[in-house]
Amino acid sequence: MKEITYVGENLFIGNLGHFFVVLALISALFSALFYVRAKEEKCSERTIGRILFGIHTIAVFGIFITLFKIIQGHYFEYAYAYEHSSLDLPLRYMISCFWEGQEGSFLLWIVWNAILGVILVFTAKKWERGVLAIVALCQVVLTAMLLGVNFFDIYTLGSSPFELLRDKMHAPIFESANYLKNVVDGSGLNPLLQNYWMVIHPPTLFLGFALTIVPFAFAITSLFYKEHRAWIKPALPWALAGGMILGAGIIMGGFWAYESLSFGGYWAWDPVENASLIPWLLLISGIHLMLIKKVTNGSTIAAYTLVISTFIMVLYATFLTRSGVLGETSVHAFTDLGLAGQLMQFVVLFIWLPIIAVTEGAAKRWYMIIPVSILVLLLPFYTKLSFYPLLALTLAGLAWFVLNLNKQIKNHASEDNITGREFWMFIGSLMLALSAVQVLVGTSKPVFNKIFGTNLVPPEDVIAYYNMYQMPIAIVIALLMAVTQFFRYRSTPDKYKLAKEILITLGISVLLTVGGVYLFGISNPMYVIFMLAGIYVFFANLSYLVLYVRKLKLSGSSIAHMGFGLMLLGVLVSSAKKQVITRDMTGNMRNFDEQSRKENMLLVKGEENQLGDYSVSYIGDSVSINDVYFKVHYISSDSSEEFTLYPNGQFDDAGRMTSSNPDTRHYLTYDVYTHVTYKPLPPSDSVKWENVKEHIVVQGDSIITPNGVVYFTGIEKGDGASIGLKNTTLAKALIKIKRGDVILDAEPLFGINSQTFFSIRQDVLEAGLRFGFEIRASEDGGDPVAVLEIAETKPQPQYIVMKGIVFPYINFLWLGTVMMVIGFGIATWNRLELKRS
Amino acid sequence: MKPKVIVLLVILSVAIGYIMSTYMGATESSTFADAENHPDDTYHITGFLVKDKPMEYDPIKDPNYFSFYLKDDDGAIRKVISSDPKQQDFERAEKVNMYGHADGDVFRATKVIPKCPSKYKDEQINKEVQASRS
Repeated sequence: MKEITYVGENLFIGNLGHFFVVLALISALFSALFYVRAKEEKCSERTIGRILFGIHTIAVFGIFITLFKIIQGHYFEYAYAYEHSSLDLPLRYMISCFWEGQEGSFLLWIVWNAILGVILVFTAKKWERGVLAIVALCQVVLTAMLLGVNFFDIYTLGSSPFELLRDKMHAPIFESANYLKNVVDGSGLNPLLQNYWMVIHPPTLFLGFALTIVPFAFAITSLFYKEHRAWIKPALPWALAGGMILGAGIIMGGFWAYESLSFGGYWAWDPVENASLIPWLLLISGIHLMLIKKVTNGSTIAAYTLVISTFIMVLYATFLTRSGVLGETSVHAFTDLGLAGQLMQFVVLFIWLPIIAVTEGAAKRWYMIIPVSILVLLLPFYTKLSFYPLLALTLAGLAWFVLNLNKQIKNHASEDNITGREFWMFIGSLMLALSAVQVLVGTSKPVFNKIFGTNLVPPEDVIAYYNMYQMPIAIVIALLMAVTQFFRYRSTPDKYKLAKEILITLGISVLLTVGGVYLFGISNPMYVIFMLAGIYVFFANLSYLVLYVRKLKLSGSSIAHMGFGLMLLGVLVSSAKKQVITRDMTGNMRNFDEQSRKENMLLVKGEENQLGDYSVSYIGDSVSINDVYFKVHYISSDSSEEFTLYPNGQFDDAGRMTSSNPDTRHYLTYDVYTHVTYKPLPPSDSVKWENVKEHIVVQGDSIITPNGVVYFTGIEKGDGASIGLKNTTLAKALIKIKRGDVILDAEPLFGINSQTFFSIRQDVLEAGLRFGFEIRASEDGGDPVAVLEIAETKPQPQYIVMKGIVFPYINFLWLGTVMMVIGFGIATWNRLELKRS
Repeated sequence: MKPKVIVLLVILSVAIGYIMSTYMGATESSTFADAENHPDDTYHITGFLVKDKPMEYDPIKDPNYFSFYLKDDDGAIRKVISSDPKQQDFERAEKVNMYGHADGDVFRATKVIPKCPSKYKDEQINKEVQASRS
């Protein structure tokens, strides 16, 4: 093939970015090697490792800035800019381009890891060598995802964000040296990502993911050093910070879904959501086990296992969402970039770290490393062939890990006492892990299908399926959370007082629940128990806070637990009492099930509909560049509230609505949610206007047409600049059309400037009327007269089909999650101070 | 260690029981014949949209009634009735996944998931380039 010299491409910036990727990869690799070789806390190997990690961090920022420049400078010769941005993208959303694509979101993770690594260099002290070696190793694997280097045409390592459009796509236009002239604009950022929450949710979530490596790295290092207790103190603030940030990231995602997605809720148990929930549940379980280990020296294996699996599950989540294995089961997984093999290697590699770390003696370690490395390297090429031996080896390795660790722990914790706090905390941690396992097993169905060639399908009602399992688990966890704080570590001396505290708080909670059941009108017994659990957690922890906590910095756990209680209440009341106000209850009630599923209602433009406590009308559309916003007007029956919601839709060239977004009105005690589910297609053939007549009108005139009565209510003077015409004076005719009960507006225009005059007609299709307006010199030489031209056609009703839902007390949920985040924040601060002292 | 071990065993057996029930008893894709033999049970059916048979959705009459015809893996064709509004690019779908139950000679779907053929990026870029030329 002939080489083509392309015109107008900026190749330098991409080459620079690629150079930074290679530099980041190599410096991280050597940093890890030097840190591994460092035998003492202060030695030259450690210094070199530090310098290399510094270089790595600079290179990572280099990649980030280069990619940002490519997006900001609209270099559409690069596939990343072409696919994820466009000329009209506002600056504040340019950062969102990073997480629309896989490469960019890997980069975000790499940036956070680099920042965490730098903080650890300054704070980890004697743990620095091990911890940094692991962080640097993770950076090697992550940066390799951005490499995009092809080996012998058979294997591509990574996917580069700096790939040129012409290399990525094969289209005839790239035969022209001048092709860039035709690539004038990018295909743009998904409108769903052009949202405030989508600017802050992904970086928060990725910081949460990144933070889980720190406790993991401390755990692995302590397995090497065989210091099974000392690692807890420095790792705990990191774990708590991870719990806080990851939790905040998850709930921001929920809030975004509630505000912008059309399923009518904040949590859909989508695989991508689950993939971030699993590590969080495990991390919370791990934090509690770390606390047990720290105070009583028990639960060593459990604490290690949970902290390690948290990070492994972050990697597994990455595999799930980015390998394409989820396929059709998720609505927002990334597209497959051919990284599946590499992602599997990533997971397996880090599963083997603890197994190798616990093994004593270099020879034994090599016996493990060599066969595992060979199988891991073969994984992308001979997946079927190497998968089963690798699975068997890994299971054996995990058994080896538990047995060896068990042998190393000489000091088994004292006999468990059921009046000791740690016993109940341990059970609570197991319940959290059980909850994570349930979500994991449910979400992994597509993986199971891939491995074993089965054809299991996801459950019909995914939300009901997960709720069925998670609700009882949540109730047990809540009861444990309510009582455990009243126990003392090891054993509670005053058992009478303990029983009194537990029973009195329970009694008051039962009374509050009775009140709540009456207030919210809850009848399902399961919901009543759920409500009691939520109130009990809240009230018992509030009592503990008031009775025993004397210092603000010790209040973290109580506040976080209270937040969890509120969250349960919010979940319960908002979903149990949510009211679909567009439900059609008029029809045949023979089959209640069929009837109850009819949740959509037709709203004809201009007509009022009584929906729940509101009188609702569809009053028109407003059109922006990409979307149509439907104006839906609500007036409450006592007229105390009046507002307009703007749910919107995106349309294809044929005028079909391809996706739609809701709009929600928030009040303190409830939200009103509205979502358009159908909009009729525009008329297929052009409209025929007939019976055109001119009428000379004065203000107050009415004209009777077959399609309704037309009232001419006056003329308004306007400036042409408002519709993009300079030096033009406009006259706007104000017209009202009365059709039965419906009143419609029309505003045809007449314009004059120094050269010409013109009129702009207006069609009111739902009335089947077209209006033209003109001001003309009168025939008898008097004052100019207003002339209204009216044409008729068959009226075409304009309508939308929509769904409206009232969510009561959803603010409990948001308030609860905010309290949890604050609680985690206070606990992190407390543990940081304890670590320093 | 005793109480802890008991709790551990209980939780472990719950987890294993759950995993078994998930992967053993899980529904696999079925056909209209399966559903018609057990009209009280919910089935998951994947099939091809029959494009030459009528698709009915008239929101003015009933915004919660949408019907179309689907051909299952055995080649059986049934009318499917859903109470969700029609997705407006439904015609583009080739395969359709759905859950529901048989009701006489029709299938009442509670959830309909159309699968659109993937849009090819190359096609898209050609179209855009043509648009920018004209």
